[in-house]
Amino acid sequence: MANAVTTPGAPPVVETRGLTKRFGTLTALDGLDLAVPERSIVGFLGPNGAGKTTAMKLLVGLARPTAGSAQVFGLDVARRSADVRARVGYLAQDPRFYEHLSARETLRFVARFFYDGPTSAIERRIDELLDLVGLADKADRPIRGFSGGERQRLGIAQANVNEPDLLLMDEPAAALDPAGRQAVLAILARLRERTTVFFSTHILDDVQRVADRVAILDHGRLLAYAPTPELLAGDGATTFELGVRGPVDALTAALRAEPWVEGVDRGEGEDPLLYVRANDVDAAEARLLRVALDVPDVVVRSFRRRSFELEEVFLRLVDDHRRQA
Amino acid sequence: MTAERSAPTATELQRVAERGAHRGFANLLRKELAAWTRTRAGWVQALLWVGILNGLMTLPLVFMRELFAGEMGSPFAAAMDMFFNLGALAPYAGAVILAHGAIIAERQLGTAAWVLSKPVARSAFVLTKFVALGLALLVLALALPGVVAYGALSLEAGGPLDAARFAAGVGMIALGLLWYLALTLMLGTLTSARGVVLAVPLVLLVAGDMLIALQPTVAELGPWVVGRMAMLVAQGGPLLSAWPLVSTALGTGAFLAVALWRFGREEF
Repeated sequence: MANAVTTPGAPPVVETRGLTKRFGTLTALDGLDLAVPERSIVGFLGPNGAGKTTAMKLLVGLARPTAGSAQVFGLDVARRSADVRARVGYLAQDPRFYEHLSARETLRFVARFFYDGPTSAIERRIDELLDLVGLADKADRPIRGFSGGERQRLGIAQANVNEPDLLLMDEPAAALDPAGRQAVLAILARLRERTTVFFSTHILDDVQRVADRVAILDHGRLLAYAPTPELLAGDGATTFELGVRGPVDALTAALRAEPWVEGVDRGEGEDPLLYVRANDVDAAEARLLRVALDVPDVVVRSFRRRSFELEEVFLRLVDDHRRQA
Repeated sequence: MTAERSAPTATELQRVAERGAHRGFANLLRKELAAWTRTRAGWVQALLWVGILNGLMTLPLVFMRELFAGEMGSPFAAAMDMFFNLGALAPYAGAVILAHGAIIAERQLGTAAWVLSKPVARSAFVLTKFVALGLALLVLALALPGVVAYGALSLEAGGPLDAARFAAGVGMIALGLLWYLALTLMLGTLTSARGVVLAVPLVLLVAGDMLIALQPTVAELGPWVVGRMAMLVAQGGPLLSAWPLVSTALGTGAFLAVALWRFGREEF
């Protein structure tokens, strides 16, 4: 995962304050506060019905907020939504197109909302996009014969017609095969240099691979929003994993006596694993192995700095939220 | 998928300058009209309306002259009556049938949400439906059969009819057609029930005479007597009352205003 190419001091591309959407008694989105930095890739995570799609529709003006506000490029999405959409590319979760049109005609139709001409430049842009998503050989066939994956690729192409400053993508890799998924991630990574990407997905691995920041949503509430490395680091302490053989209790006691150790937990499994939480990474890296090897009869079989998988973080946050609720 | 091939060419592309309530109108209208001009739909509709409106005129003018002469005074009068009265009925029903799914279908299929995720004014979306369907129906269901009828009736009369008066009569019928079209589109923004969108205008169309029989002032409030007035005007007679025309035009505007307001509040 690369770092965001954010301009220092630049205002957020997307900023929501208390953004709320209710459908009758159902609160789909509950007071969302979010600031998306310029040229970052933000992964939007949440279980089904978490409010991800609602949030995206609010940003693109397809729905109106019940309360709160949202600004994109500093423009209020409720009042200036057409101006916002002129700079945004949007891919819906289940993209729908006019079935009788071909992929090329569809892109031409979309391009004409953004560009007056010249025709040759528009056609060249369409060819580039068809190449980008691998639909060049099917460009002139009616969409009604397209598979789900081909529709998704066309969706990605049409969202990029205007070279958007902000790309909102709702489950962009959902209907794609593994190769298609990899290609989408590669495209997102390439777009980082000139655009801000805000995408929702169920595939946590995708977020971990490309997103600079992660927002986790459940039942309309934002549970976490932080740079990906920060989220994966856990609660502030750095954890080291130590695979050992021998007198584990003595080793645990020795480690707990060190001032840079916050805590030691035992892992499950046949071979003992110790999780050592350290508040001073440098001290831990310099001293941890020495302390372990100084304990008589202790054999160290493995040693690594542990980072959480996004899935663990996600599940823990969602579970905690549901228990509290 | 293949890798990105070359740098984008945005520097050569010129951004659309269109703003406001008509943003996206030109592009949407181009797409809507292409559905008539680049498919068989246009030809099919043209043949259908010429077949219905002009085909029936051949009964008094060609095949059953004596019968119609006995009943209506002359084959010319019968053909004139047939064209204008049928013209204020069949194309109106056609407008309702063709327009009833125009907005509902796009809402239900998700294409409206897709289009409206682009820099398009919602008013432009509704107005292009009205303009494209209106243009197509006016040309194919009224103007084309009107030209054929004008020629046939002029032949029957032994000389050219007053073209301006004939056109004024057809124009009056066109006003009624736009009223039904706007009503149908408005209903399409108010409900997702196709049956309602189809039934309400068709009931108004068919039950117009009954309503007038019950309450004669109803005739002044909509397009129900436009056909008869149009025939009179086309034959050189006076315009008996401007109210039906004024109320039909105002009604069309009101229906469109409601449609724009309602569609502007639609959520996808």
